[in-house]
Formats: sequence, C-alpha cells, structure tokens
Amino acid sequence: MRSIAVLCFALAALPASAAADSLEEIFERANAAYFRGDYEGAAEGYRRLVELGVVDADVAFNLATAEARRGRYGAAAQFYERTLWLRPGDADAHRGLDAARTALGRRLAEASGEGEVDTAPPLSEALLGGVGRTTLAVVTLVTETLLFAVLLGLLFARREAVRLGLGIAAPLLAVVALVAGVGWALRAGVLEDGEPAVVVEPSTPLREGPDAHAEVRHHAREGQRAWVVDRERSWARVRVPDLGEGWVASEHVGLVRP
Amino acid sequence: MTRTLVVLALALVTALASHADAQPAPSATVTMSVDRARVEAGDIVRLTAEARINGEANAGLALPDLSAFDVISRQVSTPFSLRFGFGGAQQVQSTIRHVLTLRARQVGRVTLTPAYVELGGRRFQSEPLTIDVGGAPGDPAPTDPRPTDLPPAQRVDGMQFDADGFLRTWVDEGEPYVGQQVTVTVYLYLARPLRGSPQITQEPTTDGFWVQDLLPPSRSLAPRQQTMGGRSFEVYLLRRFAAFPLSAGELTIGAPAIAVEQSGGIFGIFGGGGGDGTWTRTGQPVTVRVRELPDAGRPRGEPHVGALELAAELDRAQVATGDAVTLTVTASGRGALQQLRVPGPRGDGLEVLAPEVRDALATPDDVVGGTRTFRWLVVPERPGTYPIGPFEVPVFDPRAGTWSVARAPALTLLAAGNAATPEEEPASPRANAIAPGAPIVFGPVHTHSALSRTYVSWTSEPWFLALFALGPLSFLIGLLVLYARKRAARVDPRAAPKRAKRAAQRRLAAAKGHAAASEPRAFYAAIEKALKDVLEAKLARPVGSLTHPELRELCAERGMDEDLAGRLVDELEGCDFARFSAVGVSPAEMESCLGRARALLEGLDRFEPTRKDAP
Repeated sequence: MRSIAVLCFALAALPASAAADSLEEIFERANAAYFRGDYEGAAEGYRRLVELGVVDADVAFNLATAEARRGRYGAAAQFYERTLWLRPGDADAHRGLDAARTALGRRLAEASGEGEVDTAPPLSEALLGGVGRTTLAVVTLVTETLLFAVLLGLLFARREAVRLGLGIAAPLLAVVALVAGVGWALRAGVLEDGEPAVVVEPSTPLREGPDAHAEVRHHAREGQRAWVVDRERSWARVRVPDLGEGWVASEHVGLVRP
Repeated sequence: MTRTLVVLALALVTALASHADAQPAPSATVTMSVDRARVEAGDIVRLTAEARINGEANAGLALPDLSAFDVISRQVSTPFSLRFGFGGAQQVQSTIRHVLTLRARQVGRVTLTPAYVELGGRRFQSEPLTIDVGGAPGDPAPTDPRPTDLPPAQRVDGMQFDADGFLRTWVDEGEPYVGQQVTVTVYLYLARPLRGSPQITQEPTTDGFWVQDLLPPSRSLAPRQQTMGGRSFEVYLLRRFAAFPLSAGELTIGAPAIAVEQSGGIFGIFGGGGGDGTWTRTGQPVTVRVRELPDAGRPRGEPHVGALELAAELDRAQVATGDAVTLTVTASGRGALQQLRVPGPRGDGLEVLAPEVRDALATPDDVVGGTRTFRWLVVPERPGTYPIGPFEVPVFDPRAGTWSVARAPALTLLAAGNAATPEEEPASPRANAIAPGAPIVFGPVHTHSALSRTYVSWTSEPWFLALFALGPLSFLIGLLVLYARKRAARVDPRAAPKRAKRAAQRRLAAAKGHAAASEPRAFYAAIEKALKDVLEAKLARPVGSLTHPELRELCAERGMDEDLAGRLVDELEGCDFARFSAVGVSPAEMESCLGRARALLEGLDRFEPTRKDAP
C-alpha cells in the first residue's frame, strides 16, 4: 500500500520535474541559437518559454533582443517594456528600448522620407523616472504609518514642544505619502484606462468594428503605445494616443504585462 | 662575678675571631634560561646564562654546545663585589652573565647541555634546556647558504683588507647568464663595534643590470662576528640587491664608499683613516663575466631566465560582435619578471588594445619572484569563433642549464550578432539616445535566468495591503480611548477628584526628586500644581485665575473649614514666593513643604464641597 502511494507521488511529481528540465533546455537552445546568429530560432525558443508561462525579466529581455536582431522592432519594444515592468530600472532594457525605437524611426524615415518615433515616455515614467513600484509601495506604507502615528501622538501629547514638532511633521508626511501613493498607483496602472500594449506590426489598421471588413479609421505605427480597452473574439479594441480608438487583430498588439 | 664576665667576654671575642679567619669553600649558583622554548626555524631566541660565585673572582662560565644555532650577538658582563667581614676578612662575590642572541638553524628538538663553572675541583652547573624548533621539513638547513650568512673569509675579492675596518662587496655568482639573478651584498667590517649610523657616500654602480633591492627600507644594523687575517671583526650588512645582467660580457659593480662621524666619542675607535673627525672607507669594484644563453635547444621567442608558469583566461567566452572581453595572462615564477614580455593575441577580425600590466613582486629568501599580469581588451569585429593563444614563453633554468617552455593553453572566443562598433555606456537609462547615423546595437542576451513561472510582487499580497490599515486602526483606537475617558469623567463626577489625587501623588513624587536634585523652582511648581489640580477637581471649576483672597473666599463658600482653607492658601502663597526667590532655599525647607503638602492633600481628600457655585 505504501509502495503504491510512493509510486503515485513520484508519478505526480514527474511532469513538473520534466517541465523544469525542458525550460532549461529550451532556454539553453535559444541562447545557443542566438550566439549562432539564428535569431529567428532564438526568438522562437524564448517565445515558447513565455507561452509555457515563464514570467521572467531575463527571458523577456532575450526575446526582445532576438526580435530586434531579426528586425521586428515593435515586438522588441513590447518585450523591452515588459522587462522594465518586471524589473524597473533595468539599464540594458532601457538601452534596448531606445535602440528599438531609433531603429523604427530610421526604417520609417527610409520608407516614407520622414520618421516619427514614439519616444515620449508614459506619464508614470516621466514623473517617476527609475523609481520602481516596490520602492514606491514601501515609501507609501512607511509614510502612511508614520503619519497616523504622529496623529495619534497629537491626541495624547501634552507638551507644547512635542505637539509643535508633531504638528509640523504631520503635513509633511501627508504630502510624501500622497505623492508616493499616487506614484505607486501610476506605476501599478491603477489609473490607466485599459491594459498597456505595443503595436507590433507595421501600419496596423484601426477599424470601426471587430471585423476584417470594417472601415479603417487610422493606421497605427509599429512600436506605438496603445491601451487595450476591450476584447471580442480575436479582436482587441485599442486606444492609441493621437489616433483614438479602433479595433485591431489581437496578434497586431502585444501586451506589456504578462 | 666581675671575673666571670670578663672570662666570658674574652671567650666570645676569641670565638668570633677564629670564625672570621676561617675562609668558606667557594660556591656558585648557575642558571640558564631562554626567552621562549619554542621557535620557528630562522627565528631569534635569547639565551641567558648566569653564574653567581662566592669566594672566587676568576672563574669562567662554560656554555653549552650552540652548533644548532647561529650566534648573532653575544654580551658578557662580570660584575663583582667585595665584602669585608667581621675581623677584617674579605669575601668575594661575583657574577658572570652571558646573553646570546641565537637564530635557530634547523628544525627539531635541540637540547642544550648545562652551563657550568668549576671551582676548587667542584662543578656547579645549571639545568639543561630544551628548545623546540618548528617549521616545515627542509626549512633552512645548516648547510644552506642563508641570506645573512657571511661570505667565506678565505676569499678576499671585492675588498681591501684593513686592520681597522673595510668595505667588502660580495656577489654570489661570478659568471652568471644573461638575465640570471646575481645577489650583491655590501658588508662593513669593523674591528670594534659601531656606535653610530654609517653614511654611504657612494652607492655601488650597476650599469648594465636591472636591479631589485632585497633589504627593507628601514632596519637595524645587527653585527655578526667573523675572523679574517687572524683578526676578529664585527660585520655589518649595508646593502643587498638582486642584479640581473642585461647583456653578455664583463659587467662591473662599482665600489661603494662610506663615511662615519667620529665626533663626540661616538666613533672614537680609530686613530687614523679619516680627517676632520670623519672615518671614511672606499670598497672595491667587482666584475662579473656574463655568459650568453646557450643556443642548444633554445625555443623561439623572447626568453625568461629563472622559473615561470603561465595561465590565461577570458572574462566571457561568448559576446556580441563589437563587445569587448578581457583577456588576462598571469605569469608567476622567479627571475626578472618585470622584464618579461608576453605577446598579445592576434587574429583577423580581432582588435586588441594595448595591455594593462601589473606586477606583484616578492623576494622570499632573497630570490626575486612573484607575478606579472597582462590584461588586454579584445574586441571581435565580426561574428565568428576566434582562437586566443596559446601563450608561450621560453624559459632557461640557469642552475640546471636547460631550456623549457612555459605555456598557457589556447582559449576560444565566440562572437555573434550584427557587426557594430561598441558604443559608450550610457550614464543613465534616459541618456540612451542614439545619435543620428550611429550604429544601433542590441544585446547580448542574458545567459542566466531564474525561469520563474510566476510573477509575485509582495506589494500586492494581502498582508502588505493589510499593513496599510495598521496606521488608521491605531489612530481610531486612540480616538476611542480618548472618547471613553471623557465619557467616564462625565458619567462619574467622583472620578475626576480620584484621577486628580493620583496625579497629585505623582507630582509629589516628582517634587521629591526635584528637592533631592536641589531644584527649588521645579519643586515648588510641582507642589503648587498638585494642590491646585486636586482643589479644582473637588470644586469642579478652575481656580488658576483667582487671587488668594478670592480663593479663600471660594473655599469658605463651598464649606471648607477655615483652618484647611487658610493652610491651603498660605501654602500656595509660600509656593509662589519660593518660586520667584528660590535662592537660598534649603533642602530641609523643601522637605518640610513636602510634608505640609501631603497633609493638605489628605485634608482636601476628606473635604466634600457643600454646593457648586454658579458657572
């Protein structure tokens, strides 16, 4: 009876172990393909890892780099953005993202004589720079706790000097807590309308409805930022800054967050 | 009776005289000690042998066999004293003390036989001593030519003998190969101990050599003894350096010169040899005949003389095209490593920058050695696989007279990706803008990953969010506590006097502390506050704005007996007065005030106001 239980347990554990091994192997094979110059094979390997549920900044970075090497700068921008979401402040990813946008601009310029590159960072990025979500969350928590501790002290303190100090500290803490809290909310995307995404195909049509025959309103550039606000079958309703909303095929936009 | 006393006195004097005339047999106490019983080979140990002798002034102290040690220095002192005993007899007491500084030469346990003196056919001896000499087997053996060993006295090259003193230049190898280490030592021989610091006025010239000093910058001059020409000299080590001949032929190490000040008797041991109070000597030049390295079996390349090992490594084996890797080649061994050259890597498509060279030299046992490290930045300009190395240096062993090759195996560098020139590392993520026309570089990829399948941010965990409720919750609890207190005070009017009484007790305790600390102002302020708080709680109204007559009147109105009211107002007045003229208040007065305040509080506790006054 005990042997059967052990056997069952081993069989149950087997798929997980095999999967862990295969992840390593896929990663190694993708790396080897990259160093051979087989960027398509490398990107395929890294993308397979993502499809298997790997949520890892290094894998996202490698996939972005492999896509960039094969000229798919929109997808590269998407996965560099994902790397930065998973690991805020990653210098390599920042560099790669800027390089991908520059390459997109040059390609556009070569094709149409002029190129417009979406280089303006999102609001949270512009306001907060390289400060990560975790840092902002911790600062918010600490200042909020201190603020209420100070208020509590004001209730019971009798000495004027102490009350004066607490009275000065309270508004300062409130301001810091508020700024950090708003920053945290921005970083976490609480204030965003929709899921952040990147257009990954050149000249992606924004249609009136979720249908291939629907009228085209605009064309979004590869690498442009977008927000997915709705989904229907294999279509996504996206909001693109300066262009407005429209329906695109789901495979033409890539989500930044896993 | 008188006659008896005289006889006794005579007998006593006779007995004492006969005792004084009798000479005691000579005797001695011999001791021998060392400052430590366990040393390492080459370490210094101090041996002290002492004999205290009674009755003999000319005895000699025999020391044990010290052949297992180098005798670095020896001090002998022989103080003695004469004592005259009763009746004019003299008693001699002398001490012989030998202090020797020894250096252990060989590993093992060395037993020193007892030191002794012989007096009147009798031997007086110390206890034997045992010294454990530690160290690795093969550590300095007695026959090893140790760095501080003196050159043989039989050879007189590199010197001009002088009975008072002279300089001697000694080389350990008269016919070295090109690049072989020649150890050059300059000694000062003096007939008497040196009591000043000699000044080297002329350093030995070393044209045609690469030179490395072997002595520390600061050290003390410790003499050793050597006999030359039948005369004993104190020998001082002045200079020692390793000289590596750079070319074949006859090379000369120039004569050194020295000056020693004689003034003030510091060095007044010679009658001549220098004028104006300065004793000077000039040494002799020494010529070595440098041999060419043998051609037989000589490998190609720039050789190293001595011993050498090579190691090579790359900081990364795979890089993106255009990225730089660091190639490090480390050469370690003996010989003139600072003269060593290792050719850098070469290859089509490889850009190799000028190397950074670092030396870490050491001179254990006066043999120059250490490591020399070469670091190259290597940039693959095209994708592909690049062999780096192997690195080889011919090595000639001058002792064995044989050639060999020091070798570091070849390495492989894999470069992948688009051809691109390396760009400057951006100072910050926002400084990544690529200049127009500049090449765009991606990668390289990261070769390590946790391959995590879940993205867990602890800031989104429930416990973290729950922490946010902690502050507001505490604040809310605080509010509730305050509310409950006020409510309790409203519901139970008797609670206020009770609380006031407890607070007053605390204030009295604090006042006692102020009294002990001689702080009268704080003391009286605490007393006044305690009394007023209790009174206000009893009367259920503030009394701080009332004058003392008004307060007395109010107390009377509320039914307080006249005595208590009077004492209370008097005490408050006293506190007021004392607070503003606290100088000179004695601890006894404060103690008395404390007692009165306690009595007043008891009175107020019993006091029940008859009616409330109008609000």
